[in-house]
Amino acid sequence: MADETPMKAVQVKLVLLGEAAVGKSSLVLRFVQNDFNENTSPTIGAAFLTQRCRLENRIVKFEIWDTAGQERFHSLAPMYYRNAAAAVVVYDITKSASLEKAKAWVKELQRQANPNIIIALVGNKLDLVSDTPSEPPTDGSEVERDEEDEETTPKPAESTEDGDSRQVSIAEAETYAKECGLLFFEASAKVGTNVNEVFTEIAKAIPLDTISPKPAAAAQGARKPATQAEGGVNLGEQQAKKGGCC
Amino acid sequence: MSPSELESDTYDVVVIGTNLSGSIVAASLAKAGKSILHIDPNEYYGSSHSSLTLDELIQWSSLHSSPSLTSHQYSQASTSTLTPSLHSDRRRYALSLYPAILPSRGSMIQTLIDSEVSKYVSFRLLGSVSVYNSTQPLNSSGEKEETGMVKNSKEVKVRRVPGSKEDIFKDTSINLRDKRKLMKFLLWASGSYEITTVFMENKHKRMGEFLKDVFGLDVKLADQICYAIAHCDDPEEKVERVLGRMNRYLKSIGRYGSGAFLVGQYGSAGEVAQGFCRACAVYGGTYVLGPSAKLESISASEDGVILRLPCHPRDIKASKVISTAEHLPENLRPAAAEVIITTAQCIAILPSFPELLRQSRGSSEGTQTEEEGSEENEDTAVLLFPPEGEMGLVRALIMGEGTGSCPPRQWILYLSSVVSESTPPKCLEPYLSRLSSEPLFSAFYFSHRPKYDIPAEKLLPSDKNIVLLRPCESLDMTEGMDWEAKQAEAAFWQVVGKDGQVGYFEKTEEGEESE
Ligand SMILES: Cc1cc2nc3c(=O)[nH]c(=O)nc-3n(C[C@H](O)[C@H](O)[C@H](O)COP(=O)(O)OP(=O)(O)OC[C@H]3O[C@@H](n4cnc5c(N)ncnc54)[C@H](O)[C@@H]3O)c2cc1C
Ligand SMILES: Nc1nc2c(ncn2[C@@H]2O[C@H](COP(=O)(O)OP(=O)(O)O)[C@@H](O)[C@H]2O)c(=O)[nH]1
Ligand SMILES: [Mg+2]
Repeated sequence: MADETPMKAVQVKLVLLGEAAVGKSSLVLRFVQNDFNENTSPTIGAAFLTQRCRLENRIVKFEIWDTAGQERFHSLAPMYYRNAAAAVVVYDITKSASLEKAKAWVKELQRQANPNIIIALVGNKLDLVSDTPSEPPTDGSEVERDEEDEETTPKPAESTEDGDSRQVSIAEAETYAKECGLLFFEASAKVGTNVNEVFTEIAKAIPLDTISPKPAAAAQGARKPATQAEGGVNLGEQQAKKGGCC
Repeated sequence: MSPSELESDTYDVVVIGTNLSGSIVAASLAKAGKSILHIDPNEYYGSSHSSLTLDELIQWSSLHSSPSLTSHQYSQASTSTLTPSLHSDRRRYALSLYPAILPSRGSMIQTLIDSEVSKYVSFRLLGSVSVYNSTQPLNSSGEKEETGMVKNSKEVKVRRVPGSKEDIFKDTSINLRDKRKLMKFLLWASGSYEITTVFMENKHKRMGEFLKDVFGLDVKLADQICYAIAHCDDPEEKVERVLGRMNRYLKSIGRYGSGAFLVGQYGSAGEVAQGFCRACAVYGGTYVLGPSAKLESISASEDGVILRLPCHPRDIKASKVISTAEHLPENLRPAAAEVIITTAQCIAILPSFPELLRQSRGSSEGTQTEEEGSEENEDTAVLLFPPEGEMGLVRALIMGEGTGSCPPRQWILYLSSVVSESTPPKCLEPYLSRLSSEPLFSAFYFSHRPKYDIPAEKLLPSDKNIVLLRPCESLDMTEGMDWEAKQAEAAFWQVVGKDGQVGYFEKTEEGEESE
């Protein structure tokens, strides 16, 4: 109902997708808590995490839903996709099969999710390859990045075993991303490369008009998260766990 | 896209079926630290409480079209065909196999809050509750009844039930004396009625008679109370039972707004089930749905249950299995019930909010300020048709686009009525006609449930390591969700034992305000 003024935080539901173990939860943890867990695959243990992204003309408050392992047997519920305005589809650049899975998840999003959803394709584990260019998507990249934040240049891989474990080339993934109209990044949850950029670029790509929803947009587009639907009641008045600020 | 096997051969608990109670108990056990495998042979979440898209409903219907009961929960399902525009929008519908509203006080609300699943699922207040004033015989065509003339006719077809004290004062259709009687009764019923002698002396009476004899209410008002405030199937129901329920409904008023009931988004029950499944997954539960979760074998022994599933190459061992009867093989189910209760159900898509209910809105002065003011109110409604002829009470529940159940400017109508076995499947068609002359789509089906004469506690599966979840026995629309929440909690305690080690959806860190 009420018009959102541009500087008011607008809430955006973002979902993560991709094969198990590509680093989805790790990317969220890096973005929200600037942290990384080496061995244990982190269980977030929360409904969803929230994180703000401040842009020049608006603040986007991401409500980030992790798969909670339900991707493993392809048993993600329709609820997961509902009202998602953005999705991060992750693959592991050291496993070519994971890009194929990512493509299948993009298809699934096109079937299940809001047609205007912003999708970012992210090749994770950039730290494992030594041939890493210091600026990830290079030639002909249409991705705009904030140079000011660029202090976290990728470090060489810590693993001694192989510097040549890359199985997915930038060109291959980028070509696919362009064809499908996806944002594209290579990132590392472990060292932090490009993680903030993924979310910042998504925040920029979200059209302002889909952000302030009319009640009529209920079943469809991006809108306030389910708990704050127009005309809804707040059963418990609890808030989601809060993260820091980027 | 499926990996070839599960991460483990053993689980503390395997839950079969993603219906409401199964999903809640799965989440509660996962939160209590148990390892959970939750499976459902259907491709979709929710089992008998599912919310389906339009194409899923049509497929579901084709699987449940059999004319005979056999051992199935559903029979005689049929649907109309889809127009091209419905087909292209088919995924924008959330159609519930279990249409229900939720009292603002009760086990389900409490469980939603305690589990914090209320973060995933949202609810809104039910717009209105009305009772149909049957003045014309029910005819199968029914087309005469909802012409534009209705507005001007003297006869009020539908009476909106006052939702609060103010509503009663404002209601011009009740005279002052009746108002006083009504207020007196409601005040009594919403307080500590159970310690009064009036209650002690009359608790075994029939509700309808009790209202007439003891509170001096006329038949019309007594019926309204029974059907639309206490949500009885029938005014013959015993006072004790009715008041227990009604007291809770009256106390629900004011908790989240002026009505007693809430309507869930996206088909309600199915979405709530998904929310609990997600909570279970967040606490580490594993989910497998579809053919790879279809039980190949199950056998129970002293120290646990052994299962075989297509998703795993070896035996799966569980200390306990929790399931509804329909997922278990014959030998592990409780003995068949003597009586089967059959409910006729209809799901329809309407192109407009029923004219009948529009009229009942202001109940008098028809200066409707165009669409604007009414739009928000014309999203959800309950309408009760008192028994007529062969038919018992018929309940109608309407959910509009605000509930996320359908595209804009459409409404989902659910009709249901407990019927006898010989009733024809299309018995609800005349009711549909009263509400809409040209529905965009309709589906009809029967649902069946066992009614046992033995008390609930005695109804055990053949093995102690199998915990049975039972379906709601009656009054699904208002009581079903709370029933499911209670079943889940009972199953939780059956699994963990009451030794004080773990609590049911116990708070871990954040201190929570208690009620
Ligand atoms: C048709 C109808 C008539 C009713 N008439 C009465 C009545 O005459 N007397 C009565 O006590 N209860 C009446 N109730 C029930 C009443 O609305 C509350 O549900 C009940 O008092 C429960 O109180 P609570 O403190 O447990 O509820 P809570 O929901 O916790 O608190 C609600 C608070 O608001 C007050 N409240 C709720 N509704 C109204 C209202 N409409 N006007 C003024 N205050 C309100 C309650 O008394 C209470 O203090 C009626 C309900 C219906 C449906
Ligand atoms: N080297 C490296 N390892 C990573 C990275 N991201 C995640 N991992 C590891 O990959 C494994 C799976 O990560 P997780 O976030 O659980 O993946 P998810 O199943 O997609 O959520 C864990 O052992 C992580 O430590 C990364 O950027 N670099
Ligand atoms: Mg994960």
